[in-house]
Amino acid sequence: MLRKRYSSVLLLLLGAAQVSYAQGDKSKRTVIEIGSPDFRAYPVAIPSAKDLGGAAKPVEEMTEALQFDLDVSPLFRVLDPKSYLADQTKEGITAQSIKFSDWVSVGAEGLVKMTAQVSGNSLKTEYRFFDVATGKEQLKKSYEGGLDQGGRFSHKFADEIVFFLTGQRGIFNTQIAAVKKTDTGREIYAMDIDGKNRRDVTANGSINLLPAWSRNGREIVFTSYIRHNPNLYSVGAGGGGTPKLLSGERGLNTGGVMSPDGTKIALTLSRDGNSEVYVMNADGTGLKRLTNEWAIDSSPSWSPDSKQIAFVSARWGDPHIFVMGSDGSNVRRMTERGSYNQTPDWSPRGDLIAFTARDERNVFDIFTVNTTTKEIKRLTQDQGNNEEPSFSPDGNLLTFSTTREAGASQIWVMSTDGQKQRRVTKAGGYSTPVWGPVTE
Amino acid sequence: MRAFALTIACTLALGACAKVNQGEQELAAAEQAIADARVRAKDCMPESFTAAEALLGQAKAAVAKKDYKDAMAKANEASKLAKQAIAASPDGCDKKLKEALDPNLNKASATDAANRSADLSSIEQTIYFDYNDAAIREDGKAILTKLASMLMKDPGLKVEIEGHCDDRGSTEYNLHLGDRRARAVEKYLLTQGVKAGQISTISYGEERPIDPNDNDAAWAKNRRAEIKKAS
Repeated sequence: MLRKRYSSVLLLLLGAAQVSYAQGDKSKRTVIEIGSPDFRAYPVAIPSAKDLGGAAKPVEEMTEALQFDLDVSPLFRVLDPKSYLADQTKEGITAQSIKFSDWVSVGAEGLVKMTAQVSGNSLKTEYRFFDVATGKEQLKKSYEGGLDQGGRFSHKFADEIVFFLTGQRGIFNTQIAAVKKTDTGREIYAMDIDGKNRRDVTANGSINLLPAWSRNGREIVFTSYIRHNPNLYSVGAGGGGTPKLLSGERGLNTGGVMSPDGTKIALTLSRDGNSEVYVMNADGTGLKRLTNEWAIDSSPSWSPDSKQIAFVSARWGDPHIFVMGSDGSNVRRMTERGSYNQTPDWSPRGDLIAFTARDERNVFDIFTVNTTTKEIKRLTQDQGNNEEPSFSPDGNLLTFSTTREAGASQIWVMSTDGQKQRRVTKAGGYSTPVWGPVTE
Repeated sequence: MRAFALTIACTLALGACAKVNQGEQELAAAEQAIADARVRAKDCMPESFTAAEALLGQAKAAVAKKDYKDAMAKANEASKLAKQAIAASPDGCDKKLKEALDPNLNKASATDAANRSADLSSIEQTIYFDYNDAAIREDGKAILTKLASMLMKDPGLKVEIEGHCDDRGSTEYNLHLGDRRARAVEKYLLTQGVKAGQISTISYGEERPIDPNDNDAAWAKNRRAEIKKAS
């Protein structure tokens, strides 16, 4: 097992340019596994990146991004920079120039050092990751690119650290899409997971809602009123281009979401006079109805094996979370409690479905239900309304919307146990965030 | 809450049954009786009410199986139970129920007043709904009845009915609730005799509020169907 991971680390590193791999002793390093009995968050120190010339803004962005990533991850505990003993103006970034006893003293097991330099329009950066106890350099990476890429480089290095420590692919280099209110309607945006590098996915002045990512991360499926009737479209995730019509039935064509195997799209249509869940092929052909109830059935979410679909149904009066086979068979209710449960999102690990519930005080909060035991856990409480959860591709994090700060609806992320919760956006008016896949 | 959804369900189901006719009257009567009982008896006679509801569900299931005889029997039994529950409930039960259901949510009085003062000579009207509900209220029926006669007098006249919601609940669920509201209005106009070709529907969910504030008065104004003249 270890041997296999070792070789895959090597393969990954060999495949990437500008990478060297130093002194790491894989046979002795700790492998972190969330959920294992002896799991504890890995304490890591991330002092500010050092500006080697003209890189005042990039070093700030690099530091912020790396601290954000490891801080929100349940794998890590980022130590408070104010506690650091080492004099950052003097301490270097090589093992020889670091006084590791200072980092042992503050409780760090890992230490990240970064430098950046700007020449012309190019940003050159270097990242190193050290094991504090042994004083050994475990990872070293250089990235070079545009002046605005500092944050992105940090996301990449955060993924490297996660892979080194866990053997799992990191998710820090992914995107979150969300809807934002505009003067004319609602537009869809995509952003890095720390809210940076926001870009338009739609900019048509109409009402654009309910984004979902294609499996390769290249397209966004969404509902739009651009042709008056709320139809389902797809558009390049980079924005621009004419949206491609996927479903234009009379009435609502909403909540289109691609199956994990990439072959189907589940969606909700009201064409038969009532809202029902359907599936069709990814190109919009072969429409098939899955539910047949007089109440609302909506909001499908696929299980990771594409064999089941979670959805909302008001067939027993109030909206609740149900699960059915992807052919509509074997319908069963997942939430026995509450009176208003909506927006199911099935974890990529398969064990949990996150959803929004209204509690007895008419406040909306985020919960998970275990798909085997039906055990329900509450993740948010007494922090405004919290809605529309969406899992990260590794199942360790959730993005959601919340009104906890001054009532303005913003995008946040949290660990799946709710312990860590961090803000992503810096303005209100956001809703329905969805976490994009890991892409090459 | 359960009753709300069942009532909506029934309204739509009747649409589906319209070609059949068998059992339709009985189902409609049971639906009405249960709608009345929901307001006037559910809180005081909860067991009878739940039983009536269950029977209505069975009646509808029987319709789905095309067992119209069974459907009629079950629907009649549901009506009987619902009426008994109302008879056995003291006055004021409806008030208690509304408060118990949702102390902050059902503030119909403001929109009632708005409806009463509406200018009925215009084809463009707004009617309001209760929380998480798509049933046409009594105040809305008066407006729609007048609207229906205007549409029937002028078959060239076309309207689009927009369904809207307040902003509590999810984007997608509210789109579908708005759809139900628009279609409930459409259904009401059709039963009054308006031609189907004169009506189209669209739901905007919670995306186009009249009042963007987060309070009871704003929410009541936002739970609505707007009838707009269409070309």
